[in-house]
Amino acid sequence: MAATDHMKNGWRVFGASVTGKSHLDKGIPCQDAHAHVQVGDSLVAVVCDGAGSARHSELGAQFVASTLAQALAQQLRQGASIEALHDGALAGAMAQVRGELEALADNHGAVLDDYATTVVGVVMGPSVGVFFHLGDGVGVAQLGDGGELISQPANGEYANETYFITGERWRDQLRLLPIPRGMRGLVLMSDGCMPFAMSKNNASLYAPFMGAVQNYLSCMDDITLGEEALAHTLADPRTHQITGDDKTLLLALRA
Amino acid sequence: MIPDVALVDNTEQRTPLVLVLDCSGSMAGEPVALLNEGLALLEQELKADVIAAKRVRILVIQYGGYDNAQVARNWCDAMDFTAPRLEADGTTPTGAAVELALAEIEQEKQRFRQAGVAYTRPWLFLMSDGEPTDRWQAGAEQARAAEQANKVAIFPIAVGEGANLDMLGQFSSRGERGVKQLKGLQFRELFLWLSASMQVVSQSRPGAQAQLASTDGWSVVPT
Repeated sequence: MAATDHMKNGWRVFGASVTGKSHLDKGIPCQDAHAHVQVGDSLVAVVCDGAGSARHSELGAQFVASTLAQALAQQLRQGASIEALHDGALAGAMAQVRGELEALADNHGAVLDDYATTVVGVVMGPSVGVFFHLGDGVGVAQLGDGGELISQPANGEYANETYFITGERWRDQLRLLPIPRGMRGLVLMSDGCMPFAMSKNNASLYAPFMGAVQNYLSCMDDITLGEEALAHTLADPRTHQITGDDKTLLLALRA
Repeated sequence: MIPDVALVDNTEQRTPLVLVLDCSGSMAGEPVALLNEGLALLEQELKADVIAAKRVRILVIQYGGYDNAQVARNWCDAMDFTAPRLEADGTTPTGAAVELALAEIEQEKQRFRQAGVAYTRPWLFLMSDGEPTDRWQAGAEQARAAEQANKVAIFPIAVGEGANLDMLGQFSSRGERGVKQLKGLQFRELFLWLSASMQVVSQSRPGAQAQLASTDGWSVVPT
């Protein structure tokens, strides 16, 4: 899902969510989702990873990704600054989306936990921005000076547990990371991509993978073709030796 | 397809497994021989799974001798694990063995955190065929508290008719319901189940419930 408000297009965004091997084997749909919206020169992007243990997590991930991206874009259109988003408006938008998700669950005779999903996303204005993050997945801002600012996953103590927007304590678990200056590129990913798209201990993007992906997409004029190539790469059978999980990668490059 | 992408696994993740094994005199003969065969099977099965071999990390503690609890195999990745040949002799210091195991688990977690290695919840397998000979209550209390605080998952296994189920239950936050009674001397089935479970847990993802096989193959269903 993508939308552009103005003629001026500050970012070229490529996203793909593909079903992991273990879900393919069991006939389970992809429980990852991604969404982005551009408002003028600003960008909102969200990646969600639905919990495997939740009944309708694929719907939760899709709903939260698209609804939250739209809600934040709406705030930008109404003139909200990055500072205002950081200082409460962002958490307010998440609370609103969480409330809508609860109503959706009610209407379907389900409970909020049935739609459990993680959230990692960014709002990037013309000069500064902010990551927002609940649970695992990774966000990386590639800064102009070659450095990387990384919004790390938070799992609690154990690697096979994480936090969800549907959790009671989501406000305590929500982490905001300011992006203090302009960036040339942005990467968001679900945890299924982390083993091969991040280096050990998530210290940086893993260049032998991400470098090739970014070089290829930076020369790609057609977004749809770029996203198809990205999806094929994420579905490469070689990834099945690494993870059985769904895989989402979203890249934003300066136009 | 994007050309020239490298696809390698950079994950650093461990699943700790601690075996606390009764090697008191009553285990002598066939029981300890079958236990040793089970350990050899665990080694073989974990090494055969490429991901589990890298991620499962094993510590073996034996207790017996003169109220002696000691490390029989120090922490190592499953790919480097060689099953010990345990010998049975002496008393049953169950409490001391569990206290040693809990301390080792906390130290290992400390090392993981220092090295930035992610880990899953440690599993502690406590096997006993008899009555403790030490002051085991303090160890049991520590074990229950650790499990309640989600620091470890504890699986007490009663071996043979002489095992004290009530005592073993006090090492579990679920009490006697948490105790499994080994069917006969089916160590082989027990260790096959354990290696299969470790393969599942070591590859489990956040939010997905690990689907473990039933323990019916080796444990007696409580009636």
